[in-house]
Amino acid sequence: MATRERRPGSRRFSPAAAGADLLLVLWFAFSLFPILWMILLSLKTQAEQTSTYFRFTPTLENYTTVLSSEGERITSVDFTGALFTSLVTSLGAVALSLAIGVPAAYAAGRWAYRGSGDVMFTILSFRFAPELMVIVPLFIIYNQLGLFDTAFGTIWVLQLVTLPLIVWILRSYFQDLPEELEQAALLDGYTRTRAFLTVALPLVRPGIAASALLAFIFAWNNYVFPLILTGSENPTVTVAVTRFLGGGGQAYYNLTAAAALLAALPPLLVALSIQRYLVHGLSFGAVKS
Amino acid sequence: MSATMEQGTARRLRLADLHKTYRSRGREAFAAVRGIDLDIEPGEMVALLGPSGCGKTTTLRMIAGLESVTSGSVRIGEREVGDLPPGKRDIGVGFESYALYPPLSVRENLAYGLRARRSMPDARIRERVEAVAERLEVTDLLDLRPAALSSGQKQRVALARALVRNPPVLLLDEPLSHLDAGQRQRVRRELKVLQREFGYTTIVVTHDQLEALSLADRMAVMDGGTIQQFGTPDEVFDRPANRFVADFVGEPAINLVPGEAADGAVDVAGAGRLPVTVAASGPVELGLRPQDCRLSAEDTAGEGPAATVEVLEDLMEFGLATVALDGGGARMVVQTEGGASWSAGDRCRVQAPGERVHVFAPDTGERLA
Amino acid sequence: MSTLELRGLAARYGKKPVLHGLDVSVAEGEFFVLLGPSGAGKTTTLKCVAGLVDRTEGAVVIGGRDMAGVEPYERNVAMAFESYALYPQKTVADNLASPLRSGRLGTWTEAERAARIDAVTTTLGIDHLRERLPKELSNGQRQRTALGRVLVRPADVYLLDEPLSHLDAKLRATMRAELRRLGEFSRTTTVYVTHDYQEALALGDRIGVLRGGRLVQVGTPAELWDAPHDTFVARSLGQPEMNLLPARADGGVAITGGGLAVGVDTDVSGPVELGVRPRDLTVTAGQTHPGGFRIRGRVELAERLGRSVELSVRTEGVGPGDTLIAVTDDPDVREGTSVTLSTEHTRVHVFAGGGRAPGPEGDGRAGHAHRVGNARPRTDSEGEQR
Repeated sequence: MATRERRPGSRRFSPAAAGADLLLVLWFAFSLFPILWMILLSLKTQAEQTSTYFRFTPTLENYTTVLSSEGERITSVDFTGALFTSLVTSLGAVALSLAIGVPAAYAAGRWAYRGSGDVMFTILSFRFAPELMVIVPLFIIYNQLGLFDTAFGTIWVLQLVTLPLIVWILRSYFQDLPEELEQAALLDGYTRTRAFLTVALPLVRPGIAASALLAFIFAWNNYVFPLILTGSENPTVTVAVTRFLGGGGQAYYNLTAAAALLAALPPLLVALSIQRYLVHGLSFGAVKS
Repeated sequence: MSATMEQGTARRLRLADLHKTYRSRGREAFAAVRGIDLDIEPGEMVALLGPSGCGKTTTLRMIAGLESVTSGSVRIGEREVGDLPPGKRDIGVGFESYALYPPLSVRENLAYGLRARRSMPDARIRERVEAVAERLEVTDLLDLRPAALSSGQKQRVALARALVRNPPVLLLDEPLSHLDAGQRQRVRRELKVLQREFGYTTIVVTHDQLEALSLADRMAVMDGGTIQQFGTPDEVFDRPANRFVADFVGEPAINLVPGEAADGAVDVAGAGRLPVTVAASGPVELGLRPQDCRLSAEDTAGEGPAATVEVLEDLMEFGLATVALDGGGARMVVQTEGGASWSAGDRCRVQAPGERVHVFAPDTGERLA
Repeated sequence: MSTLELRGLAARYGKKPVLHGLDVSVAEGEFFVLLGPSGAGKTTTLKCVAGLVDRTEGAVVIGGRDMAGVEPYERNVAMAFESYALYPQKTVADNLASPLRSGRLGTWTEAERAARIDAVTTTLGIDHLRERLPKELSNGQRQRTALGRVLVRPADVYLLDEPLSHLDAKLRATMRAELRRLGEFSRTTTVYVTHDYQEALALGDRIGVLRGGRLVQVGTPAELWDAPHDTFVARSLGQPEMNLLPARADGGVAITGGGLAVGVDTDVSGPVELGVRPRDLTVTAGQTHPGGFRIRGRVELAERLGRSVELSVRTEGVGPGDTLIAVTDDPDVREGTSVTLSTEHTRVHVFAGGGRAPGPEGDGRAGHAHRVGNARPRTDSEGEQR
């Protein structure tokens, strides 16, 4: 008898499989092309920015311009300041959402009370309702309360983005946690609060990490809320990027590309460093909710 | 029996030097099955018994063609089937999880395998499904969906589906595992009667030694990818080939205690002597089944290690006494008459007939003849 | 240590009623077993006692004190969960220390805590596992750790939920004997939940048989064995299950479909079932002398169960196509041979009022006939069979 591995009925080469592979390669090229284009654009000079040639003299000049006062001269917005604002508001939004969302998710995961389904649905509806739907009243309210163009105002409005994410993902984590662990803690003599803090909370740490990082990315990338609710004092980086497209006169596509790539770096780094974690966290939420 | 049930004749199934090694990148190769030789007579019912990870299910899957064969041969009748895809092996398989298609009715489930083959007109298929259904008493269930069935009924339907193709060889993976104790007994008896009547060559994979003992004509006890013993239930129970077999088969579990053999007798853990029928000498390991031992008063004449009763469990039909042998260390379980005839703290002797005292080599665990 | 009383205890799980008024009183230091199939409400009962599930009616009384409104952490009960519920992020030692650290069950110095944990791990033979995490333990070791977390602390009542169910048959038998050996359980009031009748018989001072949220019978193992309240209790105890032969009673005689007749109380009439345990049947080859309860038949199947052999005997005197199960220690009874099954009349239970013929799938959905007594020899001069 041969000692070669055989898989009964397994296929070897078939034209259909080769065709499928080819399609995948084409799709891959198609989806990645815009990113390639952005990178190329960010390396072009002002003169070359509208040319479609792939041959040009690459330069990092755009990046230095965006990060220096020269950029601020063009857009009247401090780009590095905007990066910092985005960092503060995104982190602040996530922190606030965690403070509210973790206990909320625990309650939602553990107890069904009258109307609990409705509450959860309302929280989720923040997510799928178009942001433009509420932006006008929010603009008026923010102006009245003096929240317009403040970092705290941005943190506040970003709760609409981060809170539902954190609550829904963590709820699944809490639901997957056997209730008997906390019951055991109760019988060990711990109060419900202590059982939550010492037993349940440490066990959902991976979920907290995944949902917090995901919420950070979503908060960072949000555009519509800061566009309307911030001015020149505290714009976020997403708003600052578009300023390079110019309002009065010239559009700096090459600078925009450089700024956009810079703005994309933090969430990209976060996503890459925790990729496996993130996918697990998301699918975890997806299969059970 | 209907005429449609006749043509599948039981065939001999032979496994020769069957191996399965899993290789995955970055890991050490894992040999799940290491050289299985089995020769199963036509119409025989053989159980593959062993703990999880012993290779029994892998062996079954290789026979069925669901797992590739690393080396060795699988022959059904005169045909080598190791290279054939599962559908062409003439084998019926009953899965542990029943594997019934939930959206299909029982009737469609039974017909599915025949339809997939496209070799039979619809009328014949219907006839055949009904014949098998009647035999397995699932006629009333034919139009129900699997979800509406009890686990006992599902088990019967799964069995019917394995049988409907009238395979010369039938493979059953843990066929009774999902049933409660009472059902298990009834379905077990039914399965045996059916197998006899239809005469399929059958392999049953199980981890339940009672199931293997009661169902099988012959049983193969497996561990670590090899067969430890192949024989009739009587042989396996009464003459276990080694310590593993002795320990795995039998409930309550056999007592394994150290001893010192000399002159047709053994000294049991220094607590007293028992007769043996083998000519061994020196240190040995003794196997004493709780059912083969009995307790007698300490002052009774005759041999037997002295002991103190620690626990007596009265299970009404019989009792189980856990006794501590004198000299410390060794404990034994002895089956007693029902009703509390002994109580904790009683002094006693453990006695057993010589032909029921199994003697194993202390190092290899092999039976000393 | 305390008494435990359930008074008309009722509870729901979600919206589904699970317990319908349980009344039972467990004495100080008693080992009380709740036996029943899955879904009978065993775990819910334990959790009601622990305060983890709210009762809808009735009362849980521990040591004379009504537990209404008392939080679980104030009840001083210890529970071992079927799932073990070990804290996955804590080592065995930390799991055991958990109840000692809460501060609510007493105060211990670090040294006293260490001593208590030491004593428990030694008793349970898990000394070497103290620094392991639960995921690094086998099922048997997890089960010991879960028991350890119960034993390590003082408690009024121990609640054990199927502690042995995830172990293999052999380990289960060993642990069963070990539980008997542990003095703690003989000193502390314990409620033990199981679906395994052997555990119930071996461990229980008394057993309560639970079905569909109701206690069918409460009694000592011997009481339940000798006088099962109904066919459900009768078939819950013993493997193989008790044989039930449908018969019809009239004027002090019950006759089966196959013509087998036995004496019964004269006030029993209508459909009855005669119950005989497989191990109570004596198997003899061929014919035997008359007397006692006797059925002839042919051995259809002889299945080896270790030392004993389980026989399926197709009988002549019971009813068309009826098979009786008997257990014998005689390895020489072969399939196809004719045998006589016999027993004392006092071993034949008579059940009435079920209104159901026992089928192969007899699963408790239909009514269960109540035991009305034992059979006895017929007073008239007719033969026992035909």
